[in-house]
Amino acid sequence: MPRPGGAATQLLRSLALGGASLLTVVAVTLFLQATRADGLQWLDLLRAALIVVATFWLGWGTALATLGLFAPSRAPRPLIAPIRGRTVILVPVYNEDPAATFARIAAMDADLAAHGLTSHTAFAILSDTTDPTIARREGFWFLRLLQETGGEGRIFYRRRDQNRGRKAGNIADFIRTSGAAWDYALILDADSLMAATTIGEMIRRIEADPALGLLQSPPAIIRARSRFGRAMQFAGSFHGPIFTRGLARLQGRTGPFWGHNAIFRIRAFAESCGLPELSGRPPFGGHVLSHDFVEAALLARAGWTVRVDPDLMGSWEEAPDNMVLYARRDRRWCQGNLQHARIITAPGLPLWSRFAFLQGILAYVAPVLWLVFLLASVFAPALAPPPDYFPQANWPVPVLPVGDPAKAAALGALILGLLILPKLLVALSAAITGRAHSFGGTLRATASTIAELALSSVMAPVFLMFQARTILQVLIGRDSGWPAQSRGDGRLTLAESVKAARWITLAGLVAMAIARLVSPALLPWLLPVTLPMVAAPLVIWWTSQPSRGRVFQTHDETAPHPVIRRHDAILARWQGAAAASAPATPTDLRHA
Amino acid sequence: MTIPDDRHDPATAADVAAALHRCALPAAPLAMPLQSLDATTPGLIPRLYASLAPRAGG
Repeated sequence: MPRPGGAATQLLRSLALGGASLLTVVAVTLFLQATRADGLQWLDLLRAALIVVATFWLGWGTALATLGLFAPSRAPRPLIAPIRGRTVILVPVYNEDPAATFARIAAMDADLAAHGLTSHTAFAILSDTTDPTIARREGFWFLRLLQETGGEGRIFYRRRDQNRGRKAGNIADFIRTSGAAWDYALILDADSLMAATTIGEMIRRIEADPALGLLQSPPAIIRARSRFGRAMQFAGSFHGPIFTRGLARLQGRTGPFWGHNAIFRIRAFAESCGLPELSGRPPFGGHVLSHDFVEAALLARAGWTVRVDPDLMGSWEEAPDNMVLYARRDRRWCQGNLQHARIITAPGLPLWSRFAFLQGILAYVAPVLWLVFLLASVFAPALAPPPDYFPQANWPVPVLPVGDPAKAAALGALILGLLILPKLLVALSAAITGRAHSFGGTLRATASTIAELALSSVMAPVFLMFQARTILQVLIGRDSGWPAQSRGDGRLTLAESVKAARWITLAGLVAMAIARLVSPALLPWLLPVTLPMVAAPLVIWWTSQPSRGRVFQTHDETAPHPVIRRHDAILARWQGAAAASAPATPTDLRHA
Repeated sequence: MTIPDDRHDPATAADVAAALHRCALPAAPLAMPLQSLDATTPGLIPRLYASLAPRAGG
C-alpha cells in the first residue's frame, strides 16, 4: 500500500482525478456536438455545466472501483505483539432499543473474553436518551447486562441530562470527564457489532504506529430482511470492499472516519477534535452534524494519520430495511454534508480533506443536478429559436439543421456505462478471483449483481426525488433535528407507502404531461425516470417486503461469525425471559 | 431469571440505581480545546446562501 503522502499516493490521486476529468471532457464534448444543430442557447450551456459536475462524480466512482480492483488484496499478517494500552469501547445510544444494543455488548464481551482481551478493554455506554421510558428500560437492561457478563468494573453507563452537541457532544463530554482513564477509544454505533479478533488487531495496529490517530474499519451490513435491505446488504458486501480499497489507495494520511467501528487515540482526538458551534443558524451554522468527516480532517490538520484498512473484516452494522427509513436517515446525512460547504474553507486543512468534503457534498448534489438536467432538457427544445433555413443571404436552397443523434447516443452510452460498469467489473473480478464463492458462486453472484442493478435503476428516481426535497428543505432552513434511528422490521403497508410517496407519483405524472406538451419526442426517453416515479408507492411497498431468496446471498447470511450467532442467542434468551416475566413479581430480579 | 423491564417497581428500581451508581464512569478529565473551523472568508456557497436567504442563513 502506498505510504501516506508519498509519491505513489500523489500519482494515484492524479490518475484518478485525471481519469474522471477526461471522462467529463468527453461527455461535455459529446453533449455540445449533439446539441449544436439549432445553435447553442443559454439552456444548453446550463446543461453542459450540469453534465460537467454530474459526470465528474460518476467518473470518480468508476476511478475508485478501478483502483480498488487493481489494488493488492492480500491482507497483512495479523500483529501478535502484546497489547500495552487500555481501550474503552464507546457505545453512544439515543432512544434505541436497549435490549438489542446491550445484547450486542454482552456478545462482544464474551468474544473478547474468549480471546483473552477482557483485561485490555472496557465498555462505556454513553446514553443521550431523551425518552424517560426508554431511559428507565436502559437501567433495567444494564442490570441484566451486568448479570450476563459479570462486567461490573469494566462496563460503565452514563446518561446526560442535556444532550448538547448531539453525538459529537456526547463523545466530547466523555473525553472531558473520563478520557484520561484510557489510551484508545473504539467507537461503535448502537447497531454495531465487532469480532474480538478485529478489535484486538485494531488495537495492535494503532499501538504499532505512533502517528496513527484514527483507524477506520469497513463495516458490512448484516441482518437485512427486506428486498431493499438485502439488496443494500449484498451491494455493501460485494461491491463495497472494492470501492473501499480504491479509497484506501488514495487516502495518504487523510483517510475517512465514518463515525463508528473505528478506533482513535484519545489524546490525539482530545487535542484536535473539539468541535465549536458554528456561528449562524442551521443549515450552515449551529452544531456540526456530520462530525465524523470534520474530525478526520481535524486529526489530519494536526498531523495525525487517519486511515481505513480495507482488510479488516469482522466489523458489522445494520441498515434501514425500507426506502422511507433510508431516506429519513439520508436527510440527516444530507444536511450534515451540505453544512460542510461552510467548513471546506477552514484554515489549515490538507487539500485532500477539503476534497473529501467536496465528495460528500457531491454525493447529494450530483443526483439533483441530473434532475435539473432532465428538466432543462424538457424545456430546451421549446425555448430554442425557430430554425433558420436560409442562413446565407441570396442562397435559394434551404439548409436543414442537422442534429447529431450518434453523439447523443454515445453520450447516453457513456453515462450508462459509468453507472453500471464499476459493478459489472467487480462481478467479473469476483468470478476470476473466486471471491464470488462467498456469495453463492459465480452464477448467483452475477445474478445478484444484475438484480441489484435493476432494482437500483427502479429505486434511483424515487431516491432522486427524496434527495431533491431534502436539499430544498435544508436550504429553506428546515432543520432535520436528530431523529432516532429506526431499526427492526421495516415492512410497510401499501397505505403507508402511498402516504410517503404520493407526491412523487404526482410529480411523475406532471413531468410526463409537461414533456408530452413541450417535447413529445423526449417523452419515451424520460420513461425510465418518470415511470418509477409514478409507481413510487408500489416500489417502496414491494421493496420493503421480506426477502428470503438465494439472490443477494452474502457470506454473513450463510455462515455468520460466532459473535453474530452469540448476539442472536443472547437477545432471544433475554426477550424470551422478558416476555415470560410479564406477570412476574418485583422480587424476581433480585432472586435471579 | 426475569427482567421486568417495562414496569416501575421500587425494589428493582433501587437495584438499578445502585448498579448505575457503582458503574459510573471514572473521573479522569482530559482537556479538549475547541478548534477553529471558520475561515476568514466564508466559502462561496454559504456566502451565496446568506445573500439569498439572510434570515435562514443567519
